[in-house]
Amino acid sequence: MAGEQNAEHGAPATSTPASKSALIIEGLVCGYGTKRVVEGFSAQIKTGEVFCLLGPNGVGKTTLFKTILGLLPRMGGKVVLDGRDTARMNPEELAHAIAYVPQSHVPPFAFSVRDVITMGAVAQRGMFSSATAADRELADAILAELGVSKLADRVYTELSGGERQMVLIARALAQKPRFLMMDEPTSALDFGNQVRVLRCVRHLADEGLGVIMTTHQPEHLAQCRARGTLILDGRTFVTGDAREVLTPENLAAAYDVEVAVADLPYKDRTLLACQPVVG
Amino acid sequence: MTESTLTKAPTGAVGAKGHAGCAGRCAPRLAREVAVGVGLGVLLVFLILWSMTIGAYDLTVAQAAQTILAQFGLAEPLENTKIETVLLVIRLPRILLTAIVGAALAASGAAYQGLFKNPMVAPDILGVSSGAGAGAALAILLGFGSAGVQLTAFLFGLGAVLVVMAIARAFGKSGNSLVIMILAGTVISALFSAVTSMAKYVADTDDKLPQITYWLMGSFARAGAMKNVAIMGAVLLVAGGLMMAMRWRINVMAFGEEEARTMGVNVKATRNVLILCSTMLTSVAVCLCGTIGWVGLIIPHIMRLATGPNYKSLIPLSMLAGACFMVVVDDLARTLVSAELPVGVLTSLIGAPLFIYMLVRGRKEWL
Repeated sequence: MAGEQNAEHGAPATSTPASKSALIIEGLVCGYGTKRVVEGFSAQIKTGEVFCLLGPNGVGKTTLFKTILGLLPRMGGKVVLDGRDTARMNPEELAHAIAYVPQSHVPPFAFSVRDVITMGAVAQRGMFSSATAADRELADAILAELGVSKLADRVYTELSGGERQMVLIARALAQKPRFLMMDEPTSALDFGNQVRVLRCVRHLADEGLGVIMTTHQPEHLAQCRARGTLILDGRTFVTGDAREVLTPENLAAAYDVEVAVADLPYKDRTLLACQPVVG
Repeated sequence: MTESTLTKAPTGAVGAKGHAGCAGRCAPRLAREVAVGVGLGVLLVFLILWSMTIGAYDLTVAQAAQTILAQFGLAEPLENTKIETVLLVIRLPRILLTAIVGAALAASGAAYQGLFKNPMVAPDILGVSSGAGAGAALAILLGFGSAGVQLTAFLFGLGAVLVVMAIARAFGKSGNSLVIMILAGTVISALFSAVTSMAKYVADTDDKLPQITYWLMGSFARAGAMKNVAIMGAVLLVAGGLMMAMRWRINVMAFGEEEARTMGVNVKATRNVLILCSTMLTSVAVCLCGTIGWVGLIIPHIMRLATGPNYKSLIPLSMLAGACFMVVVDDLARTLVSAELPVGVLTSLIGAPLFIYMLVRGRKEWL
């Protein structure tokens, strides 16, 4: 479906390749040293879809996330992108395929927003090259695509958390990747900014990107029309769409609290609501 | 929800508007960087000429300019050959060396601050200065000649950094190797300082001890020879040139190694090449002129306040500003009192208050 939408709209300047690609993860084992934190994780993620990683604190979401990105060495299993094992790709090739959107943070220097986004193009340039005028134009085009052109001349360190998140997404898009990996993109954001970031995530998937994101909010699965995996513990996973994953039983098993899951009628459609039961 | 998202989605027109807007917005900033660069370049040439007129033998800027142009056959040489000797043999080599060392230290400091994601980092963070100091102290103690002292200082400076890198390699994990590196740098610095103290303690108090002490204070007085200018110039050309070529990548390194890696940067290679360049620049400067602090710390700060933190402009502008600053401070060292002051002492006296002033003025730069 996403692919059709993409074809209808025509790819904008900043868009991703039209051809479908798939990230296939098979029996991935990850951890630190000799400690195996996550064992036997498998998933197939295609461009054009959003895939969420859910699970309680300390279950190994971040470890798994970083291992897929290639930041941690894997202890077993495979991550294959379009038939090629990502462990055999050099950093530049990997950067063209998968871009990382970290949790928003503040660097020590007051770079301008345009400079930050331009840095995403570093993989497309040689070791001894600098940003070109074309890179700066790309940065402006991406900001326009994300609807935040007004940020271009601001100073990155002075932005709000929501604005910084959008700039980090823009920087990732400057890598021209096929997949985005986002680490809790809505953490520490207010309602308005959460919705803006999630809309952006869904929009990018509709434009043909594959988005993998970790989150602490089960509703994101439904809100982004995503598939996802709920990690119950490092060995047990439930994978599927929102209706399949977000059952009271699964959520109770994962978080060890009761969670109410209900359909919430809103105007002419139905939203899926998850509410942990406090008292 | 999807509908509204898609209506917000971009069209070619919006993208094109973005391009057109950039031309207007990018230009002033680039112009500012170019203007500051040209201004500093002109200032540096003027400072070099003017510095040549300062000293016991009073001269004019015109005489200095004429003598230099005459060397390239562009003007008639002065009739007074004594002036020529003073200018070309005594003053010019020292002033040129001063400028090159200033550029080298400022560039190293700027690169390290990005690499270690920390604006408080100076070029000797990995122990190069204290290593060189210990080497010089030992060489003086053993009665080496000045060339032997310089070579020993250089090798010890290089050795200190290699030991630090080896420690970081042996005990650092991918996530914390920078922290281990800085800790190891602190430890190795302390170790070499102890060696220096030991050398001073056992040194002959009439002869060797003053020699060691003066060496450690840093001065251009003993190094002002064309041979040294050539050595330092060659190092700046190679190591500084490599740093210039890689400067855009330092921006990416400032966001942390994990992010740099996911952006396609070969983090280890980039880091090692930059550390090698900085170490060469600093250790050669230190072995020729002794320890000169603060330049590598404050000059990049001043340039960040002037033109922003983008390394594309920060490295070249820091080199120019470092050269200007060093020439001025050395002029002061030569002229403030009748006997010459150690330039390392002056940079600290000027640098520390300047740094406090910048902390107050430019807080938002790093908070």
